[in-house]
Amino acid sequence: MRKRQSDQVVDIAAKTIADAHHFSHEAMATVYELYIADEDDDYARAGAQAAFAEVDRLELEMSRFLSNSDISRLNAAEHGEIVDLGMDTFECLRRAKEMHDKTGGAFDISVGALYACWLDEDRRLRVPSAEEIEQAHALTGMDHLEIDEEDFCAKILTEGVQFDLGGIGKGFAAEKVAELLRDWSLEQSLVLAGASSVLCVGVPEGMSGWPMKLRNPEKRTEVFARFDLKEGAVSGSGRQKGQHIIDPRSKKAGPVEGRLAAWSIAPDAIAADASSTAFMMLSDEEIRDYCLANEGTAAIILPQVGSDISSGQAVKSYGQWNQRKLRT
Amino acid sequence: MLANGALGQAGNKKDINIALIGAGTQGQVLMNAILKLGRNSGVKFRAVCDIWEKGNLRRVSRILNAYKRYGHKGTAYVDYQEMLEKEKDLDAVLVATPDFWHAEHTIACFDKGLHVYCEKEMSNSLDDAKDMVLAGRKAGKLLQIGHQRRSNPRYIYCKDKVINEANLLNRITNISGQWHRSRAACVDLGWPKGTDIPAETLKKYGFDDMSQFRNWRWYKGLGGGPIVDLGSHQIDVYSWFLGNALPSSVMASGGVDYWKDHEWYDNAIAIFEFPTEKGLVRASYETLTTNSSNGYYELFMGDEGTLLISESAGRGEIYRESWVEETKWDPWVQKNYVTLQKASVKAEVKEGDDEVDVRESATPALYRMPIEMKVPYHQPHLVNFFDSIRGKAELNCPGEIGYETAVMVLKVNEAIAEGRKIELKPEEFKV
Repeated sequence: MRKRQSDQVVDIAAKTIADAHHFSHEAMATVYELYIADEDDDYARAGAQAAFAEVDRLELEMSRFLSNSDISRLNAAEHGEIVDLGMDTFECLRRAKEMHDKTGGAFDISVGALYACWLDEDRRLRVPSAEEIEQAHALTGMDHLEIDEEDFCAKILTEGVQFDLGGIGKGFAAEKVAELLRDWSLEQSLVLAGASSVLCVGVPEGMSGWPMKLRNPEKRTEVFARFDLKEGAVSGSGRQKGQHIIDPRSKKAGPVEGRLAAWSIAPDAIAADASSTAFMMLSDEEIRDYCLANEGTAAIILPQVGSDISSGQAVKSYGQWNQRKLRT
Repeated sequence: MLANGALGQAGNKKDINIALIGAGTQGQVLMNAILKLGRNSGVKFRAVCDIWEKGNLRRVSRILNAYKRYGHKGTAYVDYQEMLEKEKDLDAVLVATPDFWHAEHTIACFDKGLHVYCEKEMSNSLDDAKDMVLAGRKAGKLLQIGHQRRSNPRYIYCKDKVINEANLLNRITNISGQWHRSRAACVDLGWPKGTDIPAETLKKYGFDDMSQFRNWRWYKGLGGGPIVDLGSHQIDVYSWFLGNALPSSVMASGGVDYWKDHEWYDNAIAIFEFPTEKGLVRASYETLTTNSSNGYYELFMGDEGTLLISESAGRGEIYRESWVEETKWDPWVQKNYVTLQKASVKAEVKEGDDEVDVRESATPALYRMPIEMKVPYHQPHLVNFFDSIRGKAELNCPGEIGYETAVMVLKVNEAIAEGRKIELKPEEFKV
């Protein structure tokens, strides 16, 4: 669920984007940025301020680091307890469940215990005992949470499960920001939730799209794709700088290997955010099937050099990626 | 459906029916805290009132109506008098309008026989604040002022256990506190195109234009500036932790030094003198709107220890002065009143050792309080209000207390304006 905050997705240097107003704000342990094309500088600034206030509000609702957030209340709930949630957390949980189902359990917000078992205090990989893995898996899985279909609450079926919206919260916040910007008639804008999740609210007049680039996180000068984002979202996931992604699907799986990075292009930022994490661990066939089953979705996978997966071509793509007009 | 049987209770006579006047950011904070009490809270929203029809009113009304299955309803009103007239089954009202409207809204609710939870500052005018208390007494209804820290379990714990019972700070001599906000968090608020309040409505409700409506806190006659918006909460804690002590004087400095087109001081520094049974406590407070360093907290300093407390989640530290023997605090650690986080590092001679071990600088011992805030910040204060209506509790911040704090805080602005130390007599705090 952890994502590296980097500029691996957006081509900030591109000239076409320079005419838009740029605003940034620290929240959710990353930096939120907005590019807004509007004639009125002050108006764009006021809209950005309202957008960032919305992100701050959502952080208070959904951060697992705040003892009174909705997520902390879920994590502290007793067996059988029904936790009343804010509308936003509820909606985010509902989408998380949906993405869990769609990715065959690869995307999972209930992985707190699993990460605690595989990573030490400095977030370095450790070797857990079979018993520790067993215990962690007993506390992992969306079936430990019953989300009410009609009301804004959820029931904890297993005490001690640690939920973490880290792999979907930024995408969710990006969508809420887009909603707000539309209310402000600031549709010609781009939302960056820590640069790993990017959402196109709308394309400014005179631009063919927001310029994106994808590059090799291990060799940052190597840009292997450039394209214009005209709608929807793109999200990147990777495990640079010693970060690790743990596959929650089976006790044998453990830390993900063989992939350096994965990108997802999806109709909305929530799907992009969650699926990019899943693409780090799904098999090539599963990714292909996911892209076929979900309209408007594409995946780009960068295998680890020297690993088994990288036997074919260096970069693999699936779904409606090839139809996209690549910039050169 | 997870919970069973509860939904039929909407409209139950035991329910406290409430309405919200003022559906801005703060009104929404209160609403969310109540919605998270769940369907069995026994508190039901019936209506909401705000003059910003295409903004706050629409948003909040939609949210409340979305909670229909919880028994909430968000009938929308622009005119509060119309709401009080038409909503016949109300028991209480939450007032979260700009400060200069608090008295009129609160008194109108008392006239209808309703209890009131009114946001701080209870008024921008002490005369009006006094009238609010008197109207509540006359109506025999409750008035809770929104100094929500007074119901925060972490604050209550620090006051009752750490300061009073364990007396870990011993003689408190000084207090300091601050709320520093970044420039970015203090720029003027805008509003979406096409949502303007009609000019005649703005005028009717005392605003020159839409920008003034959105940024009323900066205007004289409407709000009180950051010392009131931010400082009030914390200066209230100063008094509360000292046993509701009242200051005998206040001096202050401040000004409109940075922001353009603002009427109220964008930074203020105040010094209070609190005479207490144990001696004088001198307390400083600082609020900034240009820099966020160290955020917000209150710091209580005694001759044996220090308490740092903040509403901000997780921020709470207790330090033992290095000359105080660890054994003096040990019993309180054993009783779990505080937990030892980090022992002090001293260059002392250990038993059986005849040399001084010279190493890193001595650091004071750090202790923490074994209590967390586990619910939304404003929820306990609202629950205290509802429990008081049910006769199960007493208000943690009744109008009389809110008035005392209003005096302390509004006198800061007066001291700045007059450029002098203002002496305060005990009777000035009485209603």
